[in-house]
Amino acid sequence: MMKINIIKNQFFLYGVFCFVLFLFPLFIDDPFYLNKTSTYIIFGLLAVSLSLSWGYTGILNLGNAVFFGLGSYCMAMSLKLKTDSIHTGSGGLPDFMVWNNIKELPWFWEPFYSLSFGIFAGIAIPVILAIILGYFIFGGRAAGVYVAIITLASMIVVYLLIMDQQAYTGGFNGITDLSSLKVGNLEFDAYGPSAYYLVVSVMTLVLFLTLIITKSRAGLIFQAIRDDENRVRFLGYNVGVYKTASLCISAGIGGVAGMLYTIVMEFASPTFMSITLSLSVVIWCAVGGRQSIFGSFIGALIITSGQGSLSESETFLHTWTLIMGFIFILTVLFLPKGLVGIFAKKIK
Amino acid sequence: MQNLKENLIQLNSVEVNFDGFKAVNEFNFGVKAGELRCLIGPNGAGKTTVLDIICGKTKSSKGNIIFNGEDITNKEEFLISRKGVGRKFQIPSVFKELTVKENLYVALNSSLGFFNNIIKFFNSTDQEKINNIAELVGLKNDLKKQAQFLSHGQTQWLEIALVVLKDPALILMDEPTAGMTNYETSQTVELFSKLKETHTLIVVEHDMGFVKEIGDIVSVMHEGKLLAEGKIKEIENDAKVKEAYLGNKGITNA
Amino acid sequence: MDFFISQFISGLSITSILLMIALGLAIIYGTTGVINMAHGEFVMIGAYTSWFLQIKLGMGLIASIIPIFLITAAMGFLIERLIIRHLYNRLLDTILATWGIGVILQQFIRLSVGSELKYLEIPPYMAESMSLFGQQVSIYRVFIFLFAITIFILAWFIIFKTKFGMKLRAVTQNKDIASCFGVNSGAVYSATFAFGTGIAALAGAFIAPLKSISPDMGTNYIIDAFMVVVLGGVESLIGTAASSFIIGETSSFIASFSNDTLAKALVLVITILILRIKPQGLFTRKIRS
Repeated sequence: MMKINIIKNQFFLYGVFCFVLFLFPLFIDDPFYLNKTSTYIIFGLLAVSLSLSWGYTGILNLGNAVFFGLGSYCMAMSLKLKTDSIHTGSGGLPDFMVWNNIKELPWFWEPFYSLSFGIFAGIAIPVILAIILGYFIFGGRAAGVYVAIITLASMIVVYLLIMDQQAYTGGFNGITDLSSLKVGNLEFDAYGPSAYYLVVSVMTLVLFLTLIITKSRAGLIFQAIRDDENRVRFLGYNVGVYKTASLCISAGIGGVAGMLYTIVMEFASPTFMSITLSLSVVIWCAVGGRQSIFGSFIGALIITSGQGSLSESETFLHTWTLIMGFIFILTVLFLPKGLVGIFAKKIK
Repeated sequence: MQNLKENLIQLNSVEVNFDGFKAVNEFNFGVKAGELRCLIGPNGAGKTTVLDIICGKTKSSKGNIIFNGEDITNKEEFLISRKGVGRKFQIPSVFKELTVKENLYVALNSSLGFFNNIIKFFNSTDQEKINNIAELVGLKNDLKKQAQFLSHGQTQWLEIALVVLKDPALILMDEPTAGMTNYETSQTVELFSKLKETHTLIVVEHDMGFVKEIGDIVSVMHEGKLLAEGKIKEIENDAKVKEAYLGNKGITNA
Repeated sequence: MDFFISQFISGLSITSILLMIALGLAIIYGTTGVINMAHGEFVMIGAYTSWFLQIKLGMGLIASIIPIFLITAAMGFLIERLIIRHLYNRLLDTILATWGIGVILQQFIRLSVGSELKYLEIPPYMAESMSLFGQQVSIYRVFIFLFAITIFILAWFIIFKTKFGMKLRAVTQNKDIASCFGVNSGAVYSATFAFGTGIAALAGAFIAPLKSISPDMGTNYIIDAFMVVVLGGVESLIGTAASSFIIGETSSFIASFSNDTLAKALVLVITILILRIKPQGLFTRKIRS
């Protein structure tokens, strides 16, 4: 049957793709380049997160970077508490707290001594935020525009709070000088193949899990909600719950990506939940093909690697952004299905 | 066992007020189980609004709605739907980017909860059920087609299929033959005759030929109120109805 | 008592700025349904144009009002004709397209004029303070307040008392039917967009001396402006004014005992909460959907 072939093809395609990425370090020696590639893959995951809520369920989450940022901060907090006392200042307190005359570690930092908790929080906290947002936005039956604005506003609220409470969060500078991730005997050096393999492994897991979710009946209901949510309601489904669930899955993926990003970049900063990043993710998905998990991933990969490999100069960056703006508008006007829309009629 | 004297659905003094304009006004309406009731009337009479009230799309500011002995007034749409009310809209409302098969899969009468559905995947039993309903509405050969590529009549049938799949006791149809060819309309008549046996239908229609073929009792609305109610012959000869709606030529086959 | 008066006046100042920015946005959204995410960038363009006219051409602030309006309105008109008009059948995509336009405008400014902060001074004849209800208030801020009120009244007058306004209201209700009656809907839409962006630019020109001018200054205002529009309810000029006032005064009040950052965060949270209860905003009528 044709349908089974397509599904088998997709799993196969994903498998080949992940395998190829695993082989990367065999050909690339330069640790700096490996590190950069890790970041491109992480951005790909971020695009997957938005694709699920936007491309599949129709929720234009303009504040999508907030999940990424929260995940990154959770990992940073755990890693900061593991850092040698030279970096953490007197009495084991993070340096920025010492500079702000904090005497004791705040209660909400305590649990992050445990790396397991940090990892758990990196997913749980974004998901909890998604549940709260879901209740407010979808429970109130907000229309598309309002969802976009309110999700953006929510991200800004979190951003502002982090900036304001600089004694506890590092504020504008973020949380820097982190120890590298150590699990048992394994140390994940940000500039070594170990971190890269970690990223690719997690990527593989997330890609396949997300693919399976989209193939489930719930995944189909997400798409039905995107197409005509009232019709879904009149078939007896609680649309608010499904939308919130979609946002939660998106949040979890974003959180995971954020945690990986902290490991690879060795710091966390408020820029990880900025409007600029949120907008970039929207552009990656729009160009790649937001209704396709794989398309969004590739869109992010192509754009970020293109930007990263061409130049680091400021003038170039501004010009690149300008061109991306144009490409984005052209995509919105003429290619609503993104690049995937050109190549495949029905690949997801 | 349902009390035969009581109606399956009963509207009592419902009112819908749009900023001063009463679309539905002191409206009393009841339908027995197993009936096929046609709701007719001029444009703006409030017919669609009545369907909206029953399925929960619009809230009634007065009165109540009793369905199957239960008060469903102003409950949320998906809860009313779960009690056994299905709604087909005036503008065909199907999932345009999904294939016919996927549309039907969403509408299959199985679990509604998210956690149940995240681990549910398409299987052969589902395929069988989908084949059966597709056969019933004449879409057997179009299962792989994206819904947006269906003809207008086919889209109407797909939506009817979506509604029927949930096996609701009460089906609300809003102008099901709008835009259909004569052939498609006659197919729809056949479909409704089959549905009549096991469901209760309320059909809003303008096509009087269609009404004459399928209808038992006809309710006529005018300016938000019930103008007249009875068998088609009685309605045809009712002076008030003629004045408000049908004119002096009666119900024709046009 | 003094405290409240000074808070109130401070709030009025915020209100007037918010009103000017949000007014253009509300008119555009209310009439055409277009969500102009680049609205903040038009504020920024107004600031830079003002800077250019004043510093490079030596014009005064008052003298540059009309040129700033016309230049930006022309830009808005062009953008509407070239890009926006393709999206009237998919309005949600206007969020995306206009966001892209915003990016382009920002980058254009960065690449041509540079990203360093620019500064403008308050016109010397307005730089003093005056006494108002026992408080010392900057004359410039009073001027902005009066100008905002004037623009609002002007907009209200155009929309409700002129023939063009009637066409605008007709097109808002039902574009196609209005066309059937001979109204050039396309022209109305273009004019509306131009007018909305023009007002935004004026807001930018007036804000410029209060803080600094930077390519990303617009991003700060876009969220505030949208909150005002969303809270006030679409299709209601009074709603826009009222919600500007509510948000302006609330910000001022909260900022008085905490700081600006927290005030902004809290105002956003409160707005989100209000929208949960009244998703259509505070001032809309129930319309048959």
